[in-house]
Amino acid sequence: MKFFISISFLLLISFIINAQEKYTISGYVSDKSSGESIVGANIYCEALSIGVTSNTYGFYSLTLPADNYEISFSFIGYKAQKKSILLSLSKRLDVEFEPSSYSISEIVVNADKNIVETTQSSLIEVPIEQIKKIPAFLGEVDVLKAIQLLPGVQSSEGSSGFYVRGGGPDQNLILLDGVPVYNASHIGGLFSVFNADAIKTVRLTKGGFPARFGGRLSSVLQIDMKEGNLKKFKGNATIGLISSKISIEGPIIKDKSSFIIAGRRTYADLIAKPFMPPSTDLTLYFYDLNAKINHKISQTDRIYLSAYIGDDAFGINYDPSQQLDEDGQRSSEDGVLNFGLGYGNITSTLRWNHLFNDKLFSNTTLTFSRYSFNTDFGLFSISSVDNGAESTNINFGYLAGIEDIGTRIDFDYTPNPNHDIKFGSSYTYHNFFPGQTTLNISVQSPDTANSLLLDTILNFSANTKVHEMFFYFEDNMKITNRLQANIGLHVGYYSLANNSSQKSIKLFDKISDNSNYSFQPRVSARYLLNENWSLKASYAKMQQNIHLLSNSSVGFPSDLWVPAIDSVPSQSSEQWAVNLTTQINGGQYEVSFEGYYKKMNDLIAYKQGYSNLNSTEAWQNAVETGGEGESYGAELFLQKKKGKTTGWIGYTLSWTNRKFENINFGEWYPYKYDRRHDFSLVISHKFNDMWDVGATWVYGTGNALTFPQAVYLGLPSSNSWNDQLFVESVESYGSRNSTRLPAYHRLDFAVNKHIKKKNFSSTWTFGAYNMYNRKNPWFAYLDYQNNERVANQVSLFPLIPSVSYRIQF
Amino acid sequence: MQTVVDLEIPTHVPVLVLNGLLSSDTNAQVVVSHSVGAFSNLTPNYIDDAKVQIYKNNELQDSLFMDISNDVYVYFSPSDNSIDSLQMYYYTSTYIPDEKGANYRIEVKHPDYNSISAETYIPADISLYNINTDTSSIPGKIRLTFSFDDDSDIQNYYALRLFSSCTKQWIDEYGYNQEFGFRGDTDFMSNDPSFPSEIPFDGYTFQGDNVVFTDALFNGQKKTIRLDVESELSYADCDTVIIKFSTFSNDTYLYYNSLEEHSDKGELGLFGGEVIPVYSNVANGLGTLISTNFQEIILKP
Repeated sequence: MKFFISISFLLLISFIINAQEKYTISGYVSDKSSGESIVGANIYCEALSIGVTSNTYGFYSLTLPADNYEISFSFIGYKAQKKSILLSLSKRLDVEFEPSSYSISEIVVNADKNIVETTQSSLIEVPIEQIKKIPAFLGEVDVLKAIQLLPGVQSSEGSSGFYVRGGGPDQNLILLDGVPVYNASHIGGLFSVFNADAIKTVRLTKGGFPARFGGRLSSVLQIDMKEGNLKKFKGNATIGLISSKISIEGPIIKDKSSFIIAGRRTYADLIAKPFMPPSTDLTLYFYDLNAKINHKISQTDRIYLSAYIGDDAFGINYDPSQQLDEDGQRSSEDGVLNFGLGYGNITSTLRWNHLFNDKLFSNTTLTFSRYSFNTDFGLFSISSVDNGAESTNINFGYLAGIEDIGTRIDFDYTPNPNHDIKFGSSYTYHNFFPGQTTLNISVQSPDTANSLLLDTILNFSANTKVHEMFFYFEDNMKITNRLQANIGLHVGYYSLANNSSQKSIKLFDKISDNSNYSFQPRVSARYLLNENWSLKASYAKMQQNIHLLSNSSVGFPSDLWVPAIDSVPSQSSEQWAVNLTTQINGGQYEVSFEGYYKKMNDLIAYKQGYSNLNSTEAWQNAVETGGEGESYGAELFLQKKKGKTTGWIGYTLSWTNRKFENINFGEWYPYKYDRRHDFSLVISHKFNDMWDVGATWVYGTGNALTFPQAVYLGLPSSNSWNDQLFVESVESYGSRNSTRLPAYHRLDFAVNKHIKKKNFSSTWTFGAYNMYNRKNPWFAYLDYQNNERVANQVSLFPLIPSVSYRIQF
Repeated sequence: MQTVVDLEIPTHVPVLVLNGLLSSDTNAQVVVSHSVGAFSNLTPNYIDDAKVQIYKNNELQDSLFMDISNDVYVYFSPSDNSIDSLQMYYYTSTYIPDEKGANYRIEVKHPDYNSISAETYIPADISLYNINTDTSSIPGKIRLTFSFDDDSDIQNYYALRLFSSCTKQWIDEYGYNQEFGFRGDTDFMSNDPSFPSEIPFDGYTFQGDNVVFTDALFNGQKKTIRLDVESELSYADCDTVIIKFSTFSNDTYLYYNSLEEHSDKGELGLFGGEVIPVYSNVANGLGTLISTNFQEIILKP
């Protein structure tokens, strides 16, 4: 700790001294046609080989000695610009980028050295336009499905969940406009909650985490919503096989404030309704709604308010009295039976950008996030008794989830081109409600002795409230012309809030308790081998204070988020990574080769055989604690971002293992998503303004599973009725996850036809999922066919064609 | 879509399988068989020419020989819902493993397989007292109560089963003789916190015809067990009522627990979590050697 304070102090002194003869160019970078801020644009001074990039809000600050310069502004997909600047005093320079065509000749590439020059490794940004070109399942463009195609990211068939570098699905921090999204899937994982029409940027960080990130072990997925067009009204609508969506954006006050609203709904229930009997009412849909407004209060202040709400609903209501008999008469049968299941997220963010001066930028955020899962079962009936009618009403309900309220402040200070300092703090108040069951039984009878009224709430696991806070400081510093480093410290604080069942602890005692703090150093460095090659290395220590209890392989919405407690401590990890990066053909191709090793501690897993679907046990009694994990491997990423043909090739060679004292006899075993080889090819090609095509091919080693390896005779036991002995055959499973499912591979394809009219443009998309109809493994079980034991594999999706129509106006 | 596929499964070399339940009041008796690969067309079968020896605290006590005079046909359920029968032989000895707390090891050798061994211990005796049958306090139910003192020095494992044989005969309103009877394991209910708990039904957190529990909640204390039995037949109609009370070794507890959970949950796979392997304590082989100190509380006759 003292080391970091000393370093910080020395750096501060050096900034004050160095700042005296320099001036600053600062401003915002935005899209000329929409006014949307551009994240990650390069601002580069070739004469001094010094550059910066715009931050999440499009702000940049470049401080240089007084002189005459030519400054380059560039970003993929936009025409690069060069501006001559006589720097004799600090000045504000807002830059608007004009979208480029796909012609290679128009692109200026010499100023775009981002991937080689940037300090951070293990970071991949996928342009949303690229995501929209990837062939989509049932034509539904999906951000998370695109993320699954990146190296170091594993997934399973039919799920939008993902596993990064051997981590669990709970170890990914998914942020929508800075707010955690706790369940990012619809229909149990078939689709993600992110409507691509409302998304502006998608960035995945797999390692080398800067100090500003915390709270998860394996990845941070930042998804930022569009801000809304500041110049003119725009809209688009898409009709697909399973859903339709619409988005509208435009200025509220031109160039000052704007809005965007986007909605999506599936209609499986509406399609099914005509085919359902009158006695059965089916509910089956999901919807989501994104909305955002922003307003430029002044040259130095801007606010954003964004919100997301999405729900999945499945329900059946059966009322036999609505059924008509053969004579067209209503059925005399009475009673109503209903079952419902629902889950969804609500998130909202209020952000305030403030520019203190041309070097100090701040962002203050208030956040709210809630995820809840509920099931309901109801039964109502009336029966005749001797002296009247007796009614019975039974209702059973279950609710689980998590709710967060948080605040965060981030500062971005750029005293000179050699230092980019970020510091800030965050506080989140978590409320976990991991399983509340309500039971209501009412029997009303003319005979009061037979009447019954029961209304009770059963909490098998207590609600828990938690304080989580962190402070961070990081400096992205240029040490020499070739060596650059990002050094930071993330200090986390975590404690349980007092509640009625716990001993009340004074606030001061909690804050002064050292055991509540975690110190997580972060270091990453880049060394330029030459102008096209760089070598990078990183180290990050992470701590995660929440766990996800999941024992299904498909990622159920019923999976529980629970807090770390004394008997189930926080998870932690350390990750080391080394990266070699280059640009080829003047930046047309980017190649990254990265090796990593990750060590994880205090992992949890359900006890063997435990199922959260049929247990009433408190969650902390159902888990194994103190688990260890290790993951290591190498990733290759070859990306072509420019030209008529774009896309990437990703390959991962990896190992990931787990060890728990009471699982697999305490021996190491492969994690379910241990995948030796993982390959993805993503390609799109534009023939002309009317036609373009996209294709993806993925290959992955089969998932590990525990499967019978031998059969033997069990201990004879006697029937208590006649003392006849019987014996069962017992399956021996060997080591956990020692069997492999067959390899997974699949080809998807899509053709887009674009039609441009005077006032609108439209796109027809024809696609095919699993083009060669591969029967990919979902899970397998031991079966008997013709008196022989066989492994029966269940597959989910055959060849599925799709079509969608999109109109933009 | 379902397809028969080949899986990458580690090759299984058949091993010896030892199964036995050592009891403090019975001659040592085990069975020996061999395993087969999961996809083998062969059926696992019993072996009649193995060399079997029993050790107490690492000292050889006796050899167990195949009891040819006592071959037993057992019902065999090979997991495909069919029923078959197998000829089974016990390896027996006149030796009775009756020393409480002693470690007993059985070694099996056969020229075609690697040698195997397994070890267990006989739990100490336990005395039951305050045994009471209450047939009147709770309408429609019989309450059985008994107490015992738990030994604080060791982790204890217990099992309970209730056996009854009851018959009622009467003449109905038309003058015909009617008879209703029951014989076998009998369901009981309890709210004992040491028993596995489920969603309360009819005011009870446990219902079943057997229960396995540990002394985790009453280590070293007096323990009183109360069991309520639904009484369709009156207590007077029963000629036999027996509480079967066993003290288990740790191995026995793990075996029965895993066997029950394995049978209940089967291959949970997709929706219910990982499979539960049946506990095996046989080194270099498969199977289980367990032990029990078995007692009966005979309430009737």
